[in-house]
Amino acid sequence: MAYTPHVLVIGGGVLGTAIARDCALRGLEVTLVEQGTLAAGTTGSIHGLLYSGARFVEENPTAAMRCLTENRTLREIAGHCIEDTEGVVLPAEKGEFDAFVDACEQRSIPASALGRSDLDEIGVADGIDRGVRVPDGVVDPFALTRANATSAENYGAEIKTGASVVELLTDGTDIVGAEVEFDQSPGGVRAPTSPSEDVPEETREPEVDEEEEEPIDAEDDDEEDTPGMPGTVQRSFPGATEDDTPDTGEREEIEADYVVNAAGAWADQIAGLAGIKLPLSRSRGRMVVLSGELTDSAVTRRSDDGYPITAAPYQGNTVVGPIPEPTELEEALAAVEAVLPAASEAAVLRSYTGVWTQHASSSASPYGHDATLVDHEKYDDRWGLLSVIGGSVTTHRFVAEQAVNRVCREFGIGRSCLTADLSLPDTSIRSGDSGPVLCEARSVGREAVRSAIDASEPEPELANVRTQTGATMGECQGGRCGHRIAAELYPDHDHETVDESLETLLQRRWRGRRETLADDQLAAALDDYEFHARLLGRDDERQEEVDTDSFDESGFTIPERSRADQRYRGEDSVLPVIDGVPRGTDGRAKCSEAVGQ
Amino acid sequence: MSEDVLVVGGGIEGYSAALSALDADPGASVRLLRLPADRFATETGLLDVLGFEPGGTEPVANPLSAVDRLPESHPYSRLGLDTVRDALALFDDVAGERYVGSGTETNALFPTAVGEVAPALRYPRSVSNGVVSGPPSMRLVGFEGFPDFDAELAAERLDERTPLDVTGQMIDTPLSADSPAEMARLLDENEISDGQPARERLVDALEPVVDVEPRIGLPAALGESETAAITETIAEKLRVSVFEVSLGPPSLPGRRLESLLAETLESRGGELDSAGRITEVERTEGRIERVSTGRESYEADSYVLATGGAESGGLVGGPEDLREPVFDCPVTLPDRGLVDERFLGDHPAVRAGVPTDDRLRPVTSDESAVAENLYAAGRVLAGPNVVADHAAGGVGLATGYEAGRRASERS
Ligand SMILES: Cc1cc2nc3c(=O)[nH]c(=O)nc-3n(C[C@H](O)[C@H](O)[C@H](O)COP(=O)(O)OP(=O)(O)OC[C@H]3O[C@@H](n4cnc5c(N)ncnc54)[C@H](O)[C@@H]3O)c2cc1C
Ligand SMILES: Cc1cc2nc3c(=O)[nH]c(=O)nc-3n(C[C@H](O)[C@H](O)[C@H](O)COP(=O)(O)OP(=O)(O)OC[C@H]3O[C@@H](n4cnc5c(N)ncnc54)[C@H](O)[C@@H]3O)c2cc1C
Repeated sequence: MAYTPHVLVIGGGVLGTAIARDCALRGLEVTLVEQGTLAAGTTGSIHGLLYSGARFVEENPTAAMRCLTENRTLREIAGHCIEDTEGVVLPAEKGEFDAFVDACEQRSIPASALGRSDLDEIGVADGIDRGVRVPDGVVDPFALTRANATSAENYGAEIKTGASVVELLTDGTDIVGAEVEFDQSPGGVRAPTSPSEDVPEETREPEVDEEEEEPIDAEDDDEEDTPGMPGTVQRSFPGATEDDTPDTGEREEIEADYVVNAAGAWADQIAGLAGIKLPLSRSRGRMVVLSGELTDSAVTRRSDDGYPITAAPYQGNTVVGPIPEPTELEEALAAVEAVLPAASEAAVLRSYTGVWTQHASSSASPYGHDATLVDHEKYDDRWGLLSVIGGSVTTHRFVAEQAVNRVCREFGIGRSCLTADLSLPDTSIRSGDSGPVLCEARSVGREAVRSAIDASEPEPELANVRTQTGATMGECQGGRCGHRIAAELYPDHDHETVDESLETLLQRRWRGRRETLADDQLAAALDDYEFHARLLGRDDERQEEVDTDSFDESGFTIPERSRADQRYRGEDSVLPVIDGVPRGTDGRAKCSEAVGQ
Repeated sequence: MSEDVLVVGGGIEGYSAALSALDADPGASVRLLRLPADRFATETGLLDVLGFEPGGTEPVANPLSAVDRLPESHPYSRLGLDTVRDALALFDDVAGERYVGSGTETNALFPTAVGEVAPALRYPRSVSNGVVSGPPSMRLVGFEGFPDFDAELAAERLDERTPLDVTGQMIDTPLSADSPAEMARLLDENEISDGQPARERLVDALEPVVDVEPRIGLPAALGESETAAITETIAEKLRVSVFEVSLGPPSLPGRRLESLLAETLESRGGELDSAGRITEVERTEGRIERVSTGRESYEADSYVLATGGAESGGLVGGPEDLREPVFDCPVTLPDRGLVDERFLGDHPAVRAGVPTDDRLRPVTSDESAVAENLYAAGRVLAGPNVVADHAAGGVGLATGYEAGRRASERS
């Protein structure tokens, strides 16, 4: 190929990284920029389900079948990111169940009937007598996003995290790149203007143009062609810290032949930078983390009047959700207890909220996760920008494929997509168990923490330790292990960086924790506070340097015939000794000057 | 069982109340219910009386002279300086040689496990050589297997925070102990392995890292009961001053303080009881007649509520309200919500608690006593943020002292 277009992808969620990977596999030059860390957006606050499609087979059969296909593909190419928990779907209190089972059958979604004894084994409450087993699974969205990114890098893509798009470059009308601003502050990532802040109660008023944008499943024009050669440049893995790390506040203009906007809930802000209006609809869903694995399957109870609630095992805990606003937490937990009685014993560890974002032209409901490609040349007369919105983690690879097909078409490139055929690299951390355990709740050792720190770029990023090792996600949410983990940054980083990282880590865990505090969890949280404030003596608002002048120092005593004794009282000593402490001529205590004379 | 004074709760305030009741009336029968257990696991073993004025950014050198500047509602202001001094004198009498600082009214500053500085007015002998205001340089030595204390990191911070020269070094964990508690046990028993006693093996491990600094700081794992002998061995063999840096939880200096208080209480005729939770309270005409755990029932002339705050189950509930579960005393909340937005913020739940009259009797909203023979002390009281102010030890000690006095007066 004589000419290789340079594609700039905005957004390091599961979708953006998959688009970058797909571009790289097809031999395009690609740069991805992410304002925070990978999977810091919606991708990192999902429920964690690999959908079989059963949950919305009646409402959105097309999406359901797409889920089933992609579910199978991901199991093939990314088995290490998936736990094959299987799923169980239970009937709603009143609702029709037979129609649902029939719908599954019609769409070839395996749904085998479960009897009461199976339900007993799963831990389902008495009184629920039916259910089906479906091929739902649990997916680790952090591992999957990392795997996409690493694969993209292996094929020559460049991935920049801590790089926030602040301008889109234009030549008047066409989009020709973007300007990014770097923020490499430790422990965290740049605090984005959180999209969740401005989500109205329901959704935004859909403002659809005359022409309908293209829903993806309507498009089916895969061109078959010779596969692209994988790039030969072997870039660093995410994690290899480069020496030319940009400073915080530094800006860079990245020129590109084409820009793909995969900024999720922030996509309208990106489009807005070029004066383009991109109408989105959003709704929030809340997840609650309960302690312990209450069940080993992803258990979904259908709902009479809304989106079903699922309880799924995730790294030793159980994640329950999504709880749509404005449902109260207690109400949702009661619903879960009615299905899984063991939930009444579990502690609520924390909650987090995700924002569903779809183009306003698709239904605002989360059913089916419709995905939309918006070619801004077609709708806004602005060449060079494609926005990709929606989908799900389960179907993200397919959505990325459609997007990259579109990009290739713009340049007359007819290479077929390889992302479904090539396995994703396993980036999980394997380490021996030498050294002490730092996070007891998750049995994460020092070696694993160090590997995760080494694997993050370009600055210490403790969020990476959490997502790669699971540390700080247990009962204490970092309260008892955060300082140990942050200390591992030392001595590569100074104590200020350690402090700042710890502060960020604890503060972000606290945000999810403080909402749910009651009873034993309240006591544990206050105990953790006391541990930091009193035992460790931490307080970020106190003075850096302590004036120790007027404090009591009589506690120090020199043992008879000690080294200090010899030094201080020895014949060579010129310092007078008062109360066992050598004094200078000014009467002030002397320390190391006295040593080694 | 029947006593003159029944103290419910085994934190510093509970022991203080029991010891104070016996001090006021040595013939009294006093029983302490250790409830809930292990209140000392997160204690540093240091007695913090007032380390910072509320909201202050610099440590306080003379806590008692700062009492003038505290709000009127502060327990120290309400009890008066004399009571605070008497309570300290009782502590000095109990702690004897094991603690340092007896009689002083000036705080000393000690390094914490992360290299911050913590003020205290009384402190165990095992930590006393660590005063950071005293001049000689120090070397912190950490053990790789104890991740709470990164000595090199702590030393860098401390070196910057204080005028001292501080160095740090990490070494392989001596005695292959897998926790501070395990190391303490091996050292207490001076267990022989490969023909060498544990204390000698520790000395050998430390020998190469002792440098020019005349004192070394070690993780607080130097025995639970034989600490003095162990530190002395190290000091003598290596010819350095030795001090401990508190780790936790469980914090060994905290545990040692508890043993000290418990042993003294028993030696002075008090009874210690590890019965479970109190589930029933019997009252008549404004008095508590009897309390019971379901298995055991106790009848006393006076009761002292010393169960601690929300951190130890003395107050329970959330996420909106707190209650006091034993006697169901009214609880006041200083603000909306129980916790602050910041993890290290000023959490209302820490300041929440039971309001009392001037005699430390819990009161209802119309200021009348919940029961004429019920007193309260320590963290269960409504009051300042004693955690942020580094005043938990002193407030516990002084309110316990006063509650114990009052309770014994009635008998
Ligand atoms: C199945 C599953 C189970 C999980 N279980 C747990 C668990 O047990 N415990 C747990 O702690 N987490 C858990 N998580 C992680 C959780 O989803 C989120 O990743 C986490 O809550 C994000 O929290 P945060 O404090 O980092 O961000 P939040 O404070 O919750 O903010 C939400 C989003 O806003 C952005 N943001 C907010 N503040 C900043 C900032 N200062 N800098 C940069 N970006 C910011 C980020 O994009 C972030 O993802 C789980 C995730 C999954 C998928
Ligand atoms: C509550 C909830 C539960 C869900 N549960 C599931 C589930 O169980 N299973 C499933 O398959 N799907 C689930 N989904 C759907 C799934 O989460 C999303 O479809 C998917 O994560 C979207 O990924 P994304 O990459 O498009 O967006 P994001 O992950 O949000 O990525 C966008 C990225 O763009 C970055 N960005 C924004 N602005 C800028 C800028 N100016 N410069 C640079 N970068 C920028 C952001 O930081 C962010 O990382 C759930 C969704 C929600 C809301």
